[in-house]
Amino acid sequence: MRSIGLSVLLALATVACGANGDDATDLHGSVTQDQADEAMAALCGIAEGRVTAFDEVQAAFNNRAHETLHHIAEVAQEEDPAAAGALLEAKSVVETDLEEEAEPPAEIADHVAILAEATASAIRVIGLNAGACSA
Amino acid sequence: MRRTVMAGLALSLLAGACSSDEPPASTGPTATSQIVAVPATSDLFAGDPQRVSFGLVRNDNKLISFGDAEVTFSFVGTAAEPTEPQPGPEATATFVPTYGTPDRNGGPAVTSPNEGRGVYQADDVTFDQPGFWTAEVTVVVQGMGTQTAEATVPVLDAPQIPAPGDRAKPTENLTLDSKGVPQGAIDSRAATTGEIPDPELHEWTIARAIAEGRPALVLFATPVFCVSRFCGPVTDMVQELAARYGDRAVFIHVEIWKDYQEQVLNEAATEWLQTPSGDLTEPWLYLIGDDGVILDRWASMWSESDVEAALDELPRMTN
Repeated sequence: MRSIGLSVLLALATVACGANGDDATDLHGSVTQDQADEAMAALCGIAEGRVTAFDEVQAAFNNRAHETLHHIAEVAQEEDPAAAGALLEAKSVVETDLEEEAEPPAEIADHVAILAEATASAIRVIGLNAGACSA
Repeated sequence: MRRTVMAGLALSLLAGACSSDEPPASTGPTATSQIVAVPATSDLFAGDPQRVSFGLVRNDNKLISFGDAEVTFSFVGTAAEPTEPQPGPEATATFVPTYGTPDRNGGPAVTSPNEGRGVYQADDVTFDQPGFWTAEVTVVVQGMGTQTAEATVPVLDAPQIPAPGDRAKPTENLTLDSKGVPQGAIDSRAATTGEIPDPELHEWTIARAIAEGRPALVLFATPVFCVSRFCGPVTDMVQELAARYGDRAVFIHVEIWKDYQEQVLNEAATEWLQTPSGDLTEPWLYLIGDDGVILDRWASMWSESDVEAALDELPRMTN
């Protein structure tokens, strides 16, 4: 049994993701184009100043982008560690901003813009489409 | 050294990506359920009581959070010799929120990540033989009713990485005193902030703690480059514990990556966590006794109160 690697766990989890369904052919690793678009839309909303209230910024980042960013980085790491690293570093900066008790720092829109740019690059690395934010 | 680094809860990320309307083949919701159970614990082995955790997610990326879930395990054989399910242990799994995220009373509920996220953890689960075990996870969710999902976990005949009862490896992990290494190799957060935010976790080597007979709580995690959502929060947790329990143990954070861009791992991380297949999971938390023997370990996500209880059992250090 020692020879059963932990990758078995991952394999089993992958099975859970509908490997017998049509979606399997749409997945880039574990990321779909819709998920990538949703994450970019959330980030761009903050970066472009359309989402400014702290609770709305937190909700947009945590609910619409955060998990997908991990997916993207995980997949991109195999192809381009530098792109994945840039995404994760930029994400870490934004997370630090969001740990503030009351209000995020004034630079959060700029930090999210950097994150959006890194995310778009990583999305392209994994073979999906991503444009730039307009701001 | 280029290796695969995985996080236990990367599994949940995979499951979170599920968007198929088709039920999963062998792991996931049952025919009448709308949730997926994702194992969050790795390196399970037969014979000793262990924590076993699951993330519960829906196909729309919403999470199931709070309250308890019931878990029934069944042995389903090995890859070479599958069998009909044989009844195994049963346990109540309690929700463990990600450190720093909301917890609340009441039963399981559907949440967005901003409202609550974590895992359901069953304690003291003993598997009596190695092989594959299926967990049937049942949870009564507000607005959804009773939901049952299945997940299968491999149980080894022995742990692949250090486990309770083993002697701790006398590792010379990087510290603030290490010469000729970038700060980001000591703590990945230094690469983004320009400084190490928790220097008190980077003063001791594991080797020195063992040599001086001091208990040690050792965290292996990469807060920035983690592929799960938990490395940063658990690092914050250990930093906070260090402030309160500095008289019980020394606290050590071992960064996983020496150079992420070049995909080079720190030797201390590989020495402890790399499996024979070359894979490495993180984060892990180890409690080492003053005799150099591992007292406990936690994988992926853990309850602060669990760790507090273990630290409370240690005698106060005299110097």
